[in-house]
Amino acid sequence: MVAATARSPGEGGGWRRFLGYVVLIFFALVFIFPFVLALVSSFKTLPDIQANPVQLWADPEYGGWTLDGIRGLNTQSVRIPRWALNSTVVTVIATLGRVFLASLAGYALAKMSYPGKQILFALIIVLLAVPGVVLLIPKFLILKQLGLLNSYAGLIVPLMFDAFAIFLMKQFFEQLPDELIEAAAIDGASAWQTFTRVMLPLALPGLIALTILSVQGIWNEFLHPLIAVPAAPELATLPLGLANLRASFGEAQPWNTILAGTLITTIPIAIVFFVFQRYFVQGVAATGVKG
Amino acid sequence: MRHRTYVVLVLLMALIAACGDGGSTDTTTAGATETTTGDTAGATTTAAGEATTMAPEEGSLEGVELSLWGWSSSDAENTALSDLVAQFSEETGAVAAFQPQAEYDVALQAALTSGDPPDVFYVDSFRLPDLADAGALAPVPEGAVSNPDDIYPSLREAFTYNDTWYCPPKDFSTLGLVYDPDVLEAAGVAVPTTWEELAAAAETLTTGDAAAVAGGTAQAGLSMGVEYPRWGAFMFQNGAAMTNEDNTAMTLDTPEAREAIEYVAGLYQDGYAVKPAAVDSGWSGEAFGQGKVAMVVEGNWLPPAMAADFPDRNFAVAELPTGPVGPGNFAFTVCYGVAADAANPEASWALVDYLTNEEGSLAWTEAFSVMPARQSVAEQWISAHPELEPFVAGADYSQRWGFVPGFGDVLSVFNTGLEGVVDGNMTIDQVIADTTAAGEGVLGG
Amino acid sequence: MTLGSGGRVDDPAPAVSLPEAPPIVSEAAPAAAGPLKVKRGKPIQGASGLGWMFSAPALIGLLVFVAIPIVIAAWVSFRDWSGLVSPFDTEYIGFENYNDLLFQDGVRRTDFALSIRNNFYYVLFVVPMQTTLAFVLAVILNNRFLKGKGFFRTSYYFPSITSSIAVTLIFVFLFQTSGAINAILPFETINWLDNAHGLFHNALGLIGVEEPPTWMIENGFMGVTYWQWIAGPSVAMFAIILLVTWTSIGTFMLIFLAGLQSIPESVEEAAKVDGASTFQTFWHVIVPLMKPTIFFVVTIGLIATWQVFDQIYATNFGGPQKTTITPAFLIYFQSFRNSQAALAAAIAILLLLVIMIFTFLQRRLIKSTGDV
Repeated sequence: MVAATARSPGEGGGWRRFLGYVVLIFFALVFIFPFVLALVSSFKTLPDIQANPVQLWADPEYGGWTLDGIRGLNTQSVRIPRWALNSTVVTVIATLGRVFLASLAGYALAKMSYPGKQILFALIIVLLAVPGVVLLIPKFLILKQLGLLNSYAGLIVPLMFDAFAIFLMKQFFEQLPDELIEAAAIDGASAWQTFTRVMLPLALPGLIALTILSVQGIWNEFLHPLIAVPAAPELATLPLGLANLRASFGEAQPWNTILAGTLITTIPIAIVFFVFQRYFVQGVAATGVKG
Repeated sequence: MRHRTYVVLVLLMALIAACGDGGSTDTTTAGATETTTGDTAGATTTAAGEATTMAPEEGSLEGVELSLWGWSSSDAENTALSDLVAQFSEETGAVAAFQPQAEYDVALQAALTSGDPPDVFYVDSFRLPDLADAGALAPVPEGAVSNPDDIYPSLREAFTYNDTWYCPPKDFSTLGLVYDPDVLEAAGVAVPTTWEELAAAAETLTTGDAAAVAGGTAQAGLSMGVEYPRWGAFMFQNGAAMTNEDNTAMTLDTPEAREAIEYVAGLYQDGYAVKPAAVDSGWSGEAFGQGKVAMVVEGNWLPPAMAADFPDRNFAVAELPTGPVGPGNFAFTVCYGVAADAANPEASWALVDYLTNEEGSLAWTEAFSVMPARQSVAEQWISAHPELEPFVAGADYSQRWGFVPGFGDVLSVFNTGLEGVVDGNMTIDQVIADTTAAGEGVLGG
Repeated sequence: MTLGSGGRVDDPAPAVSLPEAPPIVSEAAPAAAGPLKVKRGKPIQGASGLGWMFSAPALIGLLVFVAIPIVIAAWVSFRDWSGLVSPFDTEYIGFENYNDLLFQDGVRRTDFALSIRNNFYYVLFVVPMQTTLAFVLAVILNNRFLKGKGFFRTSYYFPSITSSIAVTLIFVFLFQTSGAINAILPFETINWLDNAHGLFHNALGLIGVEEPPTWMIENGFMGVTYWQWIAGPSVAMFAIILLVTWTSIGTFMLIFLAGLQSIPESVEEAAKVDGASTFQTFWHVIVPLMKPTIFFVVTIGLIATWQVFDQIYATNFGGPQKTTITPAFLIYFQSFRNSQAALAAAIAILLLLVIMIFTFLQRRLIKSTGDV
């Protein structure tokens, strides 16, 4: 059976599959090579980068391998360790908050009945479509009114509320059978117990998928920090710090340092990705959208 | 669906109404609290009415918190200014701090919008009209700045809008021709002093096209940003200007202006001058530091940047070449503005004066390459920086960098047009026509 | 890149397997026995107050940080507000900001028109490119007999998980004049990032149209000449187009893969038995079956591409010659760099309307195509 079907796809002979591999390998190179080059260039000298832009090893003629780029990551104005700490704090807390709040609301929307629920859901659907950049200006005013401007709270709290996360959790909860809740009620479980002990564990795959997507989205978020901590450079996150690194006028662009910074931004999320790859893929595939 | 949307909208409207109220209440409360802060509240100086003695007594500002915002420059400068501010705190008892901002415009705007501005902040002369017009700045109270006549009149004027003087300059810069003396000598080129000599020198010093220069295998004669704050100097040298003296009419559509633009554009079109971006550099100073170009037109900010990023690079400064009509230059300057609703105006002005009086301005500029805005300390500065004297010379014939509110739009049209001329997809006539039309829209309206 | 909109997610049932139910319910509930029942709006338990208790925290947050800001944006767009003072101290000026953007001759309208032009060309290139490439890669990867599937899928998806700013910086590095792209490509050195020449203008140049017809430079629409309207994306914008396509292919490929996997093998087999060639099977069987997913990807792409900001900010900041300004970038620029915050708010509201219209059409059309 296996042997029989194995021959069938390539009626046109092995060359078709060969062609398929050629295309796939070509694109794999296109997608991966830039990261490899960035990694290598982080450890090259600036003249070396300029003279040999594609070479995957350091040229001894230009000083060979160097840690100059890495050293540049922690100066008075370039504070990658601090930005990485901020990014971590923001990502962890905002993700926990977002997943918790979205689970509560998603559960209510999926499994409870209360007046105004339809309006609430309609509101969430409308808010789903609002692009972040539209909110750029008024968000200042809100953050200021709440006393959150230029603070960790201002960086974190708004990111906890995400219409898409609620929508996603509603979808996940809707797949769980109502009978479970009824049975739990018969067993004398309170609504809260039913939620935490019965429904949440069952929705675990959904929770993980949402967590992963949120971690990724929040870690990479640029627009919100740009407006939330304009006057608190010590609260900058990695994307914000990196963007300003290049934008800052009147300074040379040390590419080895900038590239090292991009890799430091990429690596943690890459690790999360590799560990939880299955959920990443499921999350994206199931929803068609990434956070 | 329609029904639902309607309900949602009504809900939102109700909420915003509530929020609007909350906003104004909060602003008022904040104002009220501010006036009662500290023992200096009574002395709130309004307008230029009563003369108040601003010189702070020792310890008189005990515990008053002051924030000073600026954009972040080199680490050394940030540290030096912080030290100076710390010294002020020590002498007066105030708790003042310099807070350099990476995204200065955004940071300042956020602060002003939310009604919580820093007490003192940098104001570029070009930004002054916008800020003054918006009512964000307090005018200089009588007597708050010591010996104001000592400040170069043109610099004071740069911070005067509608006959009101808003803030004393922190320092100033002009443009110079920065060159590599070794390269010029090796090529047998004398430092150019006229347009013809500049063109000839740039030609001789150019050894390849922009691609080769970017790749580090050739050198371009000159690198200069394609923008009004550089090209404008050449317009001045030909007796032309963007607007008339009092910024009421556009004067760009003249043969003199056209000739100046043609001259500069020609340098790029012939390949003797390059945009920094065309050779992979963020600015001309970087291109120069990397040895991609032999000459650049930059200002006093260049020497420290070289020291920080390219310490081995040899360079010298000359005055800008003289044009057919005469010399011409820009004076770029920044002042210390005090917020219109600063919590503690008296202490704020005390800090400003501390940083800009004779002693303060010399202490600040002596260690750096920017020039003091006070005539009385110019000599001392030159003796500390003899090699930068050409920048001081430029001050004699420089024009201020500033127009009217909203003029940024006009300059963006001009700069975009100049880029088009250099790239060969716009004509100079088009640029002049577009900019003039845009300018008339702003000045006329 | 952030795909800003969720849209409707009625894709084939999410590939999520339920874990073993915990003991507490396994006896009581015959969960595994019956088919999963999905009921909406059925009163399940407790008082109605409970539902609000569960949804209130999220609702309040969404109102405060999303809904109210929209209303504020709409409100300030009718005021004379520079952004340098509190908006509460400003005057009502009616539709003046909208008038400046749409009807009043001047720099503001020209800039807005340019941003629309630039973003239009950006969308025109990015959406077809990312959709086609993602689809083709998904189809190849869906081949059952392929080895190393996981590796390929991971490598294609990798750029999409990374920070938009980080990948943009890497791209800027690659596309410099002295960078890797020019070193690899066998052409003459190209100035990519600081190149304002329109691709269509360049193409016209190649077929001998060097000088534009006079009427095209003497007439225009919204302050931009017809010749400028047809310029195409600038080379600099094209570099950003390549960047975004590169970044987003992975996400869309995964969505296509999920769709392809839901097509029963028997369908393909049947086509083969009927004597269809691989190409015929692809074109006449696979593509029609995938129509809903393709449609979904295209509309999501349309919605996302009209919001491009991060990449613009980190490459050229709108330049060269304003050929990379987009409405989203203009909102930022007018507000924070040009002290025209109310004007920026008006742009934001116009952009919101455009995106709302796209979203609405998407939902309507998805419903009418009878997706699953």
